[in-house]
Amino acid sequence: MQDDSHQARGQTDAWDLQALEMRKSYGKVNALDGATLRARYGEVHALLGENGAGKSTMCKIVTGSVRPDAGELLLDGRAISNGSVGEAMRHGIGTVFQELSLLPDLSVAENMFIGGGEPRGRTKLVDRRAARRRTDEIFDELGIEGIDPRSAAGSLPLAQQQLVEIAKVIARKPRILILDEATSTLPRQDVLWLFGIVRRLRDEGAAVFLISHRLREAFELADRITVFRNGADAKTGTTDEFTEATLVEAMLGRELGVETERRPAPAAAEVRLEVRELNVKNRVRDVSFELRRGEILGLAGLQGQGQTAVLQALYGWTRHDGEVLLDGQPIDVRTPRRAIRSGVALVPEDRRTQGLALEMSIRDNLTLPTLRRQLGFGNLISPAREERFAEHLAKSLNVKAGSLEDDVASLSGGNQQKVLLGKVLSLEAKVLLFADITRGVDVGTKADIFALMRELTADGTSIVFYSSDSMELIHMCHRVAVMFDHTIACVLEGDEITERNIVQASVSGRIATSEEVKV
Amino acid sequence: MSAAPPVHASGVAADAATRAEAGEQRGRARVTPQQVTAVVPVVLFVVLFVVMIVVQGTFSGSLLQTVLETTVPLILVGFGQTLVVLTGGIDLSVGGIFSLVTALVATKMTHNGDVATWLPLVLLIGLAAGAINGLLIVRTKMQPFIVTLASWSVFSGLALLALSTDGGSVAPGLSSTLSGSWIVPKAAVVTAVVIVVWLVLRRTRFGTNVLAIGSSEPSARLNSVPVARTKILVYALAGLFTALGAVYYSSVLTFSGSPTAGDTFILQSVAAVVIGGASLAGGRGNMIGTILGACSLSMIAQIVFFAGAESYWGQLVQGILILAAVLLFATVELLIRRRNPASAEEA
Repeated sequence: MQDDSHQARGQTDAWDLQALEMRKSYGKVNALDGATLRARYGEVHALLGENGAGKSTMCKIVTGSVRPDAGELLLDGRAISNGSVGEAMRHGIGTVFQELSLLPDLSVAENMFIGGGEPRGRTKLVDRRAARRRTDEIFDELGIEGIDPRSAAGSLPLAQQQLVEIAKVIARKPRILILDEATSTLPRQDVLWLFGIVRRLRDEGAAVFLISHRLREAFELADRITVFRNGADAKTGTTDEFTEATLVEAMLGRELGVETERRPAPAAAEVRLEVRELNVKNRVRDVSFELRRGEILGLAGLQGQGQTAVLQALYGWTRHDGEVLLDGQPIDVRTPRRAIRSGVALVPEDRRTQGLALEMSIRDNLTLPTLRRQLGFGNLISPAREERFAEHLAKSLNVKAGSLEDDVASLSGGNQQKVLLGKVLSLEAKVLLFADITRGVDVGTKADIFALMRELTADGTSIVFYSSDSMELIHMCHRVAVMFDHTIACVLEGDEITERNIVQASVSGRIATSEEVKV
Repeated sequence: MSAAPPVHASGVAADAATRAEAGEQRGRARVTPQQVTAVVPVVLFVVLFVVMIVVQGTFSGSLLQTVLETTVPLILVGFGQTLVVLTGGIDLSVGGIFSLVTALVATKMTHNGDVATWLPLVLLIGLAAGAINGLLIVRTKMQPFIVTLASWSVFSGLALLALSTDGGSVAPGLSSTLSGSWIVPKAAVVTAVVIVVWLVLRRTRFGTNVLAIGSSEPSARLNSVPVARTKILVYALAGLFTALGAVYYSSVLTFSGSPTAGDTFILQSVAAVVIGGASLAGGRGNMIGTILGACSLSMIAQIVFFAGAESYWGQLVQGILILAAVLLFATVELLIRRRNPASAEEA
């Protein structure tokens, strides 16, 4: 009897949150095609899948920022309709959004309480001092240091903004917490900090959804994993039912042949790029390095040590001092236009604001920097030529799109990244600068990007590769320069390129000598 | 489960160093663009005021009061425009609403008209006209510029329907009530209004929502800010403030109506907002700045008048002033960005 009821519970009632047979399409693209997700309180549930597999759309439905075309959402066994984010909040659903939802012109304290819950004085007016105090208390409680509640949210570095975003949601004590790529901008130690908080929330009875591209994070934190593929749930189970291999297989629907062996540095090759005494005010100090033909040089380090600034300076994005030589000749990289002409091109960090014109078509984006080559009769842009060019690029990069005339905004994140890459590759630069371009990108696209990098270097292109994921650097780079305190602290080569050394150098500016390691 | 916060000691501590550094850099570059944009209109106001005294050759305490009184309509329209601009929009229809209300005041609120009925009615008309703007913008998702350009034309047409040429008259009772001495000093009333408006903007959820929408509308939506409701209210309030300005204008300053009186207020109100330090992109600006901006604009006209120059000099100087103000704000922001790497790094 008791057994029976338990079994019945196990089949239906045991699930506290259920999203059943969800469907959602954008134009011709089916983002969700009958996906189902079930979760329990007191569990961390990781949602994995390639970009465009539907996990983000599913989360947005639960969060109330997207309305499904069909499907049922049950919370505590009752159907709820999440018409808006506010409604979801009232149900106790809190989300840390992938695209930060902070309001840049408002102060940190104002951001903490936007949408409700701000402390009020006797006069019913917002008590700003109390709001600041409360913000400080929340930060203290969560162990966040060094953020002034009065500063404008938009003036903080990206990683700090992410911390504020997290604190804002956690302070509302959600029953259901959704972390949508919340860790992608965070350095490893802050990820661990966040996981501590998530575990506490879970133990206090919250249901937590974790969306991450780092499989390792899923294994570290999750009790349950659901894999999405092509807009549906492909596989679900407790974490111990999965191995990394079976996970990746479920995500791709095929086995992934990851090439992990590193080729030796092409020491014999001639020096392609030489950077001498590069300085950017307050951001980069005396950076010098050489890059050989066909070499991938990694840039590692904690957030904000100047990695992005180095790349931006070499691309003429920021004012800088120092000498840059390409094939032994000094080159002018004072503006991006000149840098491109000299043979240096950058794939920027933030494809939404820095890389793509979201409202323009895929074709227009792909041909934008090379319009000079698309000219036809009377120096007018030739649509036919553009079409051929864009089609060729899209095909060679395996961009999945309905039509090249669609807005770039309609593509999934991974495909947007491919459009961005295609655009930059079409410049045929001798030196490519990659600014953390694999962040927030699914494993499939990542594998494509890595394969592409190897192809490029085989053809003699040289790459400076900044990544916030040290495993990627270990897999891809011939040498890794670790930045510390706005300069290159040490350069790792060959067997020295280990996660341990990268982390050590990132936090201390040096690697342990071999004796120290043995002890 | 212990209540102790799950601080990952090494992690957060290691990172604390970099964060402290960022804080230190903030400490050095303490000046924020907001502070600069707050100071500039004050400086401008003071300079122009001094110039005005020099040009006129006399100084009396009532000079400031005269400036304020002649600027009241522009200040009121400017209040409405500020709200709209803070959400990242623009309201061109203030010209039409202003004209319509003046026309109604001059034809319906005459000495034998029913002032007690029509006064609330014209204010309501202003509110409703603004609300229609807001509804159209929110529901159709058309650009505020286009919607209010069209409705400006519509309201101007209605104004011409009510009063085909300049003329009409205003009940002397209304004029003397508004312009004569009040029970409390007018300065106190003005101060009270300023404080209330400031409190609404900075200390209520409505005010924060307005700034939030202008700062980033998609983010505001994700934060469950009632975007549609707030925007409609903002445009409605712009209509109401404009109607208030028009009532004051026709009953105190001109004693008559003009179906085209509002047109100059369109760009003047935007200019006042911009000189006051607001960003046309939204999210940044304040009411005090708008008051100072409006007064600066009307003082330029006064100075040119007293200097005996042709009035087009006033237009010219106003134009240069607007350009200079915008250029200054942009430069200051750029300089501060450069000096404060915390905001630029990894952003």
